[in-house]
Amino acid sequence: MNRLAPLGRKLAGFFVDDAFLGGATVASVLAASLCRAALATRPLIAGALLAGGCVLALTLSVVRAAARPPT
Amino acid sequence: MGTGGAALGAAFLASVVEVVEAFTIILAVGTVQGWRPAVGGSLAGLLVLALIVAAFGPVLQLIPIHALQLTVGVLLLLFGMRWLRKAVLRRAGLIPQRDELTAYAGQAAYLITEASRKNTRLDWLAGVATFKAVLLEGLEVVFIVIAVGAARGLLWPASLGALAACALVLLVGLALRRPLAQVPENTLKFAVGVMLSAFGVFWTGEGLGVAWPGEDLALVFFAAMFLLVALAAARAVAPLRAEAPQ
Repeated sequence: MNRLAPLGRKLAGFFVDDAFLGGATVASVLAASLCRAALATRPLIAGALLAGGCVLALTLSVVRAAARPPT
Repeated sequence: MGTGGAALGAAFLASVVEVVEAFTIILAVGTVQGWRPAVGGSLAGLLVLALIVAAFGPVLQLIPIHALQLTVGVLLLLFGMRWLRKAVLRRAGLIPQRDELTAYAGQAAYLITEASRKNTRLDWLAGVATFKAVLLEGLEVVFIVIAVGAARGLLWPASLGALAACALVLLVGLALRRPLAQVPENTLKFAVGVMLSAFGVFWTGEGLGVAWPGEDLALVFFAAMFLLVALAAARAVAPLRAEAPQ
C-alpha cells in the first residue's frame, strides 16, 4: 500500500498544486456566477469577470512564486 | 478552424507531452529490467484505464449540457492554469526545465537503488513503475479528451488527436529506442497550458450562459490572451530570480 501513496498524492494534485492559484480560480468562477445571477441581462460582464479573474489569478500566482526565496 | 480542430489540436499536443513522459519511464524499465515487466505493467495500466473509461464514460451522457460545460470548464481551468503556471515558471528559470534524458537516468537509478535497499524483486518494482506511469499519464490524457471534447459533442476529434499522439510517440520511440529528448516538451507544455486555459474559460462561460461574441472565435481570443499574459509574466519575473541571493 505504501507504494500507492504517491499515486494518491498525485491524483489529489491533479487539479491543484498551488493553493493560491486554485483558490483564486474558484473565486473568479464564483464571482462570475454571482454577477451572472445579479445582472441576468448582461451576461458578458460575467464573462469578462471570469476571464479577467483567471488572468489576474495566474499573474499573481507566478509573481508570488517568483518572490519566494529559493530553496 | 472550428472548435473541432481546436479540440483535436489541444488533445494531440497534450497527449504528446503525456505519452513522451510515460514512454521515458517504460523505456528506462525495459532497458534496466527487460521488456516483460515493462510491457506487463503498461498493459495492466491500460486495462485499468479502459475500465475507468467504460465505467464513467456513459455517465457523461446523463449530465445536462450546461452542467457538463460548467463542471468540465472549471476543472479544465484548474488543470490548465496549473499547467500554464508551471510552464511560465520553467520559462522564467524559476523551476528546472523537463529533460527526458535526466528523467530516464533518474528512473533507472531509482529502480536499482530501491531494489537493493528494500531487497525487493526488481521485476515487481519495474512492473509497478510502468503501471503507475501509464495509469497517471493516461488519466491526464483521458481527462483532457473528455474536458475539451465532451462539452459540445467533440469527443471523436479529441479522441482522434490523443490516439494520433500515442501512435506517433510509440512509433518514433520504438524506432529510436532512446528517450525522446528532441521533442520540444517545455514549449509544448506552454502551448498546451494556454489552450487548456482558453478552453476552460470558454466552457465555464458557456456553462454560465454567456454567449461569447464571435462564438467559437472567442476561443482564439482567449488563447491569445493567455499566451500574451503568460509570456509577459515569464519575462517580468525572470530577473527576480537572477537578483535573488544564492
